[in-house]
Amino acid sequence: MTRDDLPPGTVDTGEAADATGAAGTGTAPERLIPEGEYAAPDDVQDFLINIGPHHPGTHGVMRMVTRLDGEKVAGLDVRIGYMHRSLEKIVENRSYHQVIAFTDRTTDYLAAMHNDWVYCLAAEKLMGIEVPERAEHLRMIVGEINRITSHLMSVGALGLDSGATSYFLWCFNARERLVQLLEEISGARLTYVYLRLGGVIYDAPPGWTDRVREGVRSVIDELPSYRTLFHDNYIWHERSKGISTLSPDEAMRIGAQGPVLRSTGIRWDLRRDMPYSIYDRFDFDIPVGTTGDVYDRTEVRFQEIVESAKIIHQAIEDMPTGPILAKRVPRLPTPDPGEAYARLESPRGEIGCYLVSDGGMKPYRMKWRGASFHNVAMLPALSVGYTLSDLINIVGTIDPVMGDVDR
Amino acid sequence: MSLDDLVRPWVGIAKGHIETMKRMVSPPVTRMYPHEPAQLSPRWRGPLRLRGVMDHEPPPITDAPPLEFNDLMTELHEEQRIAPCQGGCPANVDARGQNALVAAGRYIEAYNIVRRRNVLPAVLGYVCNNPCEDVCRRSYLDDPIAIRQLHRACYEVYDREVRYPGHLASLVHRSEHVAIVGAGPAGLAAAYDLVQMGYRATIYEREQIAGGLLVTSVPLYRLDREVVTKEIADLAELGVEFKFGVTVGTDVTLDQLKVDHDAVIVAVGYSGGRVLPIPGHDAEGVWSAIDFLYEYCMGKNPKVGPEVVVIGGGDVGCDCSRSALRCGATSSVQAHVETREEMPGQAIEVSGAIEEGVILFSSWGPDEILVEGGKVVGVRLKKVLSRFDATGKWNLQYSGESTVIPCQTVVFAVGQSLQLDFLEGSGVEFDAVGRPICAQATGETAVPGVFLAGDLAMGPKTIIIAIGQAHEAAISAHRYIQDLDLDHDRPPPVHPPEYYLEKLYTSTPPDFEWFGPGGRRVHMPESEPQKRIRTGGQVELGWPKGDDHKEAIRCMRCQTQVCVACTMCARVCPDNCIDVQGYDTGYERRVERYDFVMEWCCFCGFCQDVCPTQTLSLSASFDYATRSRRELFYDREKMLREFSAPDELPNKDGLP
Repeated sequence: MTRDDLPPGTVDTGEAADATGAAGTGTAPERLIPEGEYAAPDDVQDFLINIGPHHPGTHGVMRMVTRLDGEKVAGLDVRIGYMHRSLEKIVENRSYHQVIAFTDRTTDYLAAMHNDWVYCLAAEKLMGIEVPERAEHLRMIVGEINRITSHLMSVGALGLDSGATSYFLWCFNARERLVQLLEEISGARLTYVYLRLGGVIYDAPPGWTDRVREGVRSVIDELPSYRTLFHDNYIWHERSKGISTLSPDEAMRIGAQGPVLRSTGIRWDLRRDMPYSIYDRFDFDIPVGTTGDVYDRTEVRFQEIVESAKIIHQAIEDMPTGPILAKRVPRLPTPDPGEAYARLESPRGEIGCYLVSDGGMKPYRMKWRGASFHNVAMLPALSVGYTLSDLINIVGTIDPVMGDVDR
Repeated sequence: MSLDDLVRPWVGIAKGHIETMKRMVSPPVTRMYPHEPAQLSPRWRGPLRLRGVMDHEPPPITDAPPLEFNDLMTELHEEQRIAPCQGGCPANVDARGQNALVAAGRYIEAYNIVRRRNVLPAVLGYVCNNPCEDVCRRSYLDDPIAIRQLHRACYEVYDREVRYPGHLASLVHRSEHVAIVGAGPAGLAAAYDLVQMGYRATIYEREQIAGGLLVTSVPLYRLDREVVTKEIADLAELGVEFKFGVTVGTDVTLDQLKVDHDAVIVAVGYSGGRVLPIPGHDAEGVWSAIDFLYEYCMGKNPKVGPEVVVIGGGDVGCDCSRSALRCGATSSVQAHVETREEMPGQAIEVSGAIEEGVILFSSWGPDEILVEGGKVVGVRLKKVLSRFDATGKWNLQYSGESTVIPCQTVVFAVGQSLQLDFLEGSGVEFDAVGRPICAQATGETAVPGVFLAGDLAMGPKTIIIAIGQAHEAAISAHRYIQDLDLDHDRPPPVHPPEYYLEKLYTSTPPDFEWFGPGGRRVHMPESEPQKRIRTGGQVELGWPKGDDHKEAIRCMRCQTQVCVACTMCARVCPDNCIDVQGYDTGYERRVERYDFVMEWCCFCGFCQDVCPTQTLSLSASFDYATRSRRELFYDREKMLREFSAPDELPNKDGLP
C-alpha cells in the first residue's frame, strides 16, 4: 500500500492536526549540546553493546545488539524469542472455548480484552454466532477501559524511562482506579478471560456503569495536570521533539500501524475505517501527529485516552438490556470446515487472528498477528542516528509487549 | 539567546513542581493497607472451592400427599435443591427419584412416586412431550435421560408383579362429593387427587369409555389402549366413580350437578375440531383433525382417498398424516406454515412421520381447496415468506408462489375448538374469543363452587400441563368445600427452560470416555416403518430386559450446589489442573476424589461456567495463602472447607 491508495483525507497535513488539537510543531527545537560532541574521536572504532535481554529499558526480554559510534546508534539488531510459549501449537490441542484463556496471557497481556475480542470475533465468524446487543456494548466498554489502562501504562513507563518517576506513579494511580472497575465486572485484574464465544460471561454488577462514568471522568479530569507535569515540561520537549522522526511514506514502507502510524499524520484506525463490532455507531475522533517523532507518538496515545472516554460514555448511554450470551452456543463447537480472519485495533496497533477449522473440536490452525512484533521490527529504522539515551525512549514509544512479540 | 529562551525551561519545571506539591497535600486516591481492608470484587478469581459434594446419602425423593406437595416444592425452590427435571415439569413429577429407584431395582416404588403427580404414568410414558428431558442436565454431557420411557418401564414391572383386580383399596373417607365433568387426563388427575384427600369424586363422561382425547384422538400406534384401561381401572379401585354416557347439558344440567355435589370441576377440554374457512372447506373429503382421529381411534376406519393432505405441523398434524397412511392412503402430504426447523411437533414424531413416508411441505400455507362435483380434488398451497411482523405479532406474509397438490382428502390439524354449550347461562363468564374466564392458578370461575381444570384453564397445550393444572383445581375444590382461602398454598411457578439451561449448549457428542456406568442414551427399539404401517402396531417397542436399568443409572441425581462428579470441569480446564473421580453403583453415587492443583490454575473460570449444579466457584479469599508450593495441592476435604470471604452465585441478570 502506498500513500496514494489511502482514501482522501487520510493523510493529514499540519492544518488538520491543528484543528483537532493535535500537538507538535513539526520543527525540532535547537539542541542544547551541539551534535558534534556525540561523535567518537577519530581513532576510536564503532563498538557493539548488548542491551537486554534483561534490561529495564527494553520492557521485557528483548535483546538489542547495538553498534555505537560514540554515543550515537550506528546500527541496531533486535533479537527476540526469549519468551516463546508456542501459543499457536497449544491452540491446536485445545477446544475453541479453552483458547480464550490462552489469548489473554500468551499475547498482549496489557490489553487482554482486545486479544480475547479478536479471537472471539474470528471464532464467531467461523461458527456464525450472533452476539447479543448488550454483550457488544459490554465488550466495547471493557475494551475501551482496557485501552485507557494500556495507554496510561505506556506513557507512564515512558516517563519513568526518561526520569519522570512521579509521572509514572500518577499514571499508575489513575490506572488502578480503572483496573478496579475491570476487576469488579470480570473478577480479574490483568488476564480477564471475560469474553466468551457469543458474548461475555458476567453482566455488569448493579451500579457498575455509574462507577465507570465516574472513574473515567476522574481520569479525564486529571489529564490537564498530567500535561502540566510532563507533556508541557521543557525537559520532555528537549528529549522528544525531533527525535526519531518518521515520514508518512516511510511509515507505510516499514509497516507501521497503530499510534506510530497515526503520529506521522495518517488518519488510519480500524475502528473507523473497517468498523468491527458496533464502532460505526459511535462518534469519536482519531488524533494524529505530524512529524512522527517521540513527542507525537506520546501525544497520540495521550489524546486517544480522551477519545476512548467519549466512546465509553456513548456506549453506556446506548446500552440496552437483554441477554449477554448468545443462545445455545455449543460447549464443544465443531464448526464446519473453513477459515476466518478477524482484525481489530488494539492499543498497540492492528492485531489479527486467523482460524482454520477442519470440522473437528479443535482449531486446525491458528495464526496470530501481534502488533508488537511488527512494531519491534521498525526499531532499526527509527533509532539509527540518535543517541543511546534516546534509544530507550524510542523503545518506550513503540510500546512493545514482549509477550505479543514472541507468543 | 533571548530572555524568553532563558526563562522558558525554568517556568516549565516550576509548574511541574507546583503540580506535584498540590498532589502531596491532597488525600491519596489509592487505598492504603492496613488502614482500610482490601475491597475485593465478589467475582474475584481466587482459589477454587466446592460448595458441596455428593456423598453417602440417599438421593432425595420428593413424596408427599397432594395437600402437602406444594409446600414441599416451595421449600425445595427456596433452598435451590430442586432438580431441573422436576422443576421443569408442569406437574412436578419427581423424575430424579424415579431414576434413582429404578437404578436400585425398586420399580414398584418408582411407579408410585411418579403416580403421585402424574395420574397415568404409563400413558404419559407413551405420549408425553417430555419437558423434563428438555431441561435434563445430562444433556451437558451427551444425551438427556429417557425419563418418559422409564415411566413405561416401571409400569411394565408394576403391571406384571403387583396389579391384579382389587389390589388397591378405596381411599374415600369423607362424605363431601365432587362432580367432575369429562374423563380426560385433567379430569382423572383431579379425581385422583380428590380421592387421595378422601372426597367422593364422580366423573361424568359423554362417551362410553374414559380417557378423553387419550382414547379418542391419540392414534393406536402411539398408545396401547390396554394401558389406558388398566390405569383407569386402578383409579376406579381407589374410589373414583364413573358415569358414562352422560352428556352434561342434555342428560343432566350443570345446575343440577351443583345442587347434588359440593363442588364441580369442569375438565372437558377443547373437544371440537377446527377447519380453516378457506374456499372449498365444506366439500366432501375435508376433515378436522379431531373428527378424523376420532373415527380412526374408535375403530370406524374413516374413508380416505389414496392421496391425503394434512394442514398443520404440530403433533396432531403428524398423528393425522401417519394415521392416514394406516387408513389406506398411499401418499400423505403434510403442509405447514413453519419452516422445517421451527415445526412445533416433537422431533421424534416428525422423524417418525418422515420414516414412514410422509412428505413435508415446509413453509406452505393453504390457499384454497379445489372442488369438483362437491368432492375434493386438490389443494392449492402458497409459499410463506414470514410468519411474524416486526413487532413479533402473528402475521403471515406470502410470496405469491403457489402450487397445487391433487388429493381426495384434506385434514385440518390447525387447533381445536370449544364445545361449551352447557356452560351458557350458568354464570361462567367468557372472553371475546369465547374462552371461559378463570384464574389460571386456581381454576376459579365467576360461579362459586365451579372450577375449570386442564385445557379449559390453560388453553389447548399439552397433556402434562393439563394434569399439572388439574392438581390445583382439586386443591381449589378442597379449599372451597372446607371454606378456606383459595389463593393460599399454591406451587412456585414453573420456570422457563432458560432458567435451568442458561448454560446448555446444543450437544455435540464428546469423544472422551465417561467414567463408570452410563454412556450414551439407551435407545428404545422401534418397529420397521413399513411393518408398523401395515399392522397399525406400536412404534416404540419397549426396552429389552436390563436396558431400563442401564438408562436409569445414567441419571446424575442433580442437586443444586452439590458436586455430582460429572467431570465437566476437568474436561474444560485448559491447564488440566482438575481431576475428579466418582463412584457409582446406580443407586449410590458419590464423589470419591476431587483433586485440584492450584499451582497450575490460570483462573480462567471455565470450570465455574460449565458446572451444571453451580457447585464450583472461584472464591475471593486468601485463606489458603501459603509459602510452600507443595501445599498448593487441594484435595476433596480442602476444597469443601468454608472460606472467609463470600462468593457470588452465578448471576442471572442477563436473562430476558
